[in-house]
Amino acid sequence: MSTSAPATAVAGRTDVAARALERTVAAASARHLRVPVRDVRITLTDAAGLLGITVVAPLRLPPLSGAGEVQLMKRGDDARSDIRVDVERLTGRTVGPVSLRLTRAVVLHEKRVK
Amino acid sequence: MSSLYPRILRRENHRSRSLAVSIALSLLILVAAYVGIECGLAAYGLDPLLVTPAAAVGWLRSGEIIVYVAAGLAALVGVVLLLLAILPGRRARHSVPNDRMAVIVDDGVLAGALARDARRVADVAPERVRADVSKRRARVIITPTSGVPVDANAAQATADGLLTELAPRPTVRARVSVAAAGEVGS
Repeated sequence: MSTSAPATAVAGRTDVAARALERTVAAASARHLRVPVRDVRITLTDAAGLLGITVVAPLRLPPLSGAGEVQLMKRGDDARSDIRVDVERLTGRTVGPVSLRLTRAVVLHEKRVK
Repeated sequence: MSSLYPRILRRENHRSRSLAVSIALSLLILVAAYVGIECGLAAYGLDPLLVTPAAAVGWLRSGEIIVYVAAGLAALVGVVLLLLAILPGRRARHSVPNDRMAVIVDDGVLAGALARDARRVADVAPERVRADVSKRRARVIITPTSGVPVDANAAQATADGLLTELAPRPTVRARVSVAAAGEVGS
């Protein structure tokens, strides 16, 4: 979003539709959760003027999982904070609350290095 | 000339009462003519057109429900006419001072100018700004884009500046507000 810079700005404005924002957030979320984009559902809401994000995604279980609950929550929190930083950087919107719901778990194997 | 423009401005800023006056006077003339004719016919002992004055007075004193209904309707018409006569009958317009011309601006045009300025300052889509102007107050409501803060003070200053520059009469005071809830996407 370009704010007013009258000297250089071209007349007109750049609009970003909600759909485009959703896809952007979905891409960022998928990247940080390390799951396919098509498994990520994004709901964008207005949170008192801020951009509220709800991410519904599967939990990616690492193979040979030794992850305890604490680590799981930490991963979620890290992902939320990364998503927030990414979305703010990409879209210029100030992000409000980011909620993450992990509705199922998938085991995605890393490709073996040959 | 100096007395002409204020008159023109006043005429343009207020509704004409001529239509209401014409209708009311026409009705009055018809009723008066009819009553006069009936009284004349009765005085010469001729047959009445509809009712004799004596019968009409008797009916009015009979206290039937229909008489009260008719009286109520007459009172209602009277109140409406009274309001039309007393109320200022302002149109949704303001005059803008100008040395050489009598300038009248529709309130919708003022609102449009305020909305356009607010949109430019707030950097939101045109449909996100609503503005309306009444006699002394202008209201501008900006719906922000979620995550993009709107400088309400700057928008207020711009609206104040526009109204100060135009100086519409009667004086209009602007109140710019930013909606608490924004909209996702712009």
